[in-house]
Amino acid sequence: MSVLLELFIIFAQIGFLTFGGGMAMLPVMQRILTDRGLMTLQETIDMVAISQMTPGPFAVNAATFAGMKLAGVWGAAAATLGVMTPSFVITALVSHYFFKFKESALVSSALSGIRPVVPALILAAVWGMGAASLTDAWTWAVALISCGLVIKKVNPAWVILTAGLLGALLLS
Amino acid sequence: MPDSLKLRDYLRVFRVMFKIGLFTFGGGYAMLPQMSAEFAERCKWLKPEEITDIFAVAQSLPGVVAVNASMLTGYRLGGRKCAFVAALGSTLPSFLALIFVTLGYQAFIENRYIAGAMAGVRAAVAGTLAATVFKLGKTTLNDRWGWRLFALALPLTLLSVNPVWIILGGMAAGLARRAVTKRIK
Repeated sequence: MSVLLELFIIFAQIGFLTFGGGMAMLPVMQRILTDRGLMTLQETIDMVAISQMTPGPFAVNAATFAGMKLAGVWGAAAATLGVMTPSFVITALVSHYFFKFKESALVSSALSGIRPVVPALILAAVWGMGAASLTDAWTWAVALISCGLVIKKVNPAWVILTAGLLGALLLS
Repeated sequence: MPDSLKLRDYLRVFRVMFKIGLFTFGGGYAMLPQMSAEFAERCKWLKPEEITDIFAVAQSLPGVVAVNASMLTGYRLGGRKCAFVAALGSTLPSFLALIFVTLGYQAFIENRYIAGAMAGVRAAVAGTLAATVFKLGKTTLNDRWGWRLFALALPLTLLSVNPVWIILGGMAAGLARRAVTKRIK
């Protein structure tokens, strides 16, 4: 029981602090887990690798991995619920007011300033991903074709699945 | 979406969010292409600019961005209960995947087919996200005001200024514009 509670509390803290992306939390997460003697440094390095190779947000994947390793399936459930709890509480409170006042003059004029900056934020994320993943002609071709297909309204899930299968066959 | 949801509607939201979670590699913005394809293009439950709004709010709040975005989407579609259904739907695939992978993760890390698949997936994620910026940009960058803010925000994000500050800056600009135009009138 105490291990489950500890996992829940640790990952609730991590979930709360995940401001602006899970990867930003990584050093803090590593320090908490190793300082408490829950994981070795090598295990946290494996945790990062696995979290990036599996679907889903980094923080949630890392929580499931750590929980599973330390206390099995129940540990995984405790850590994953822990990392999600701050989001549950905060968005449940905020969404009520956000959608209620969205049409109000004040909120809609704030949104008129926020909407144009969001594409800039996404473009910067594309830039970061591209710099890390587009290393040769093959990966550039995959990225450009994926972009064209999604503009033509092909479902991105199929694009990603196909790119993964092609990668396994051709890039391995 | 109807005002009072039936079990069938919850299951539908769960199913779509589960599919989105299954094919989202990398958190936060990596979800956007599928959110926009499923909710704005396919079932037309949300307008493209609503998806932009949801991600701006999700990014500005503490917590995991992808979970925040799922909760907000669910809330918008069917209230509080639907928010939890959406968040559980989008995270269940990662939970299940990690349970199995953790059992034999050394082999998983060293597997060359998985490494190849990930190289393909990462390139595709960058491409699909680029397409989504293009689509969302079409709905939000339709006047000089929008382009000016975009042009101001882009260099700041590339210099890795925290996204929260950039969103707050946009908010301040929107409010300031309203105050100024009101005074002129």
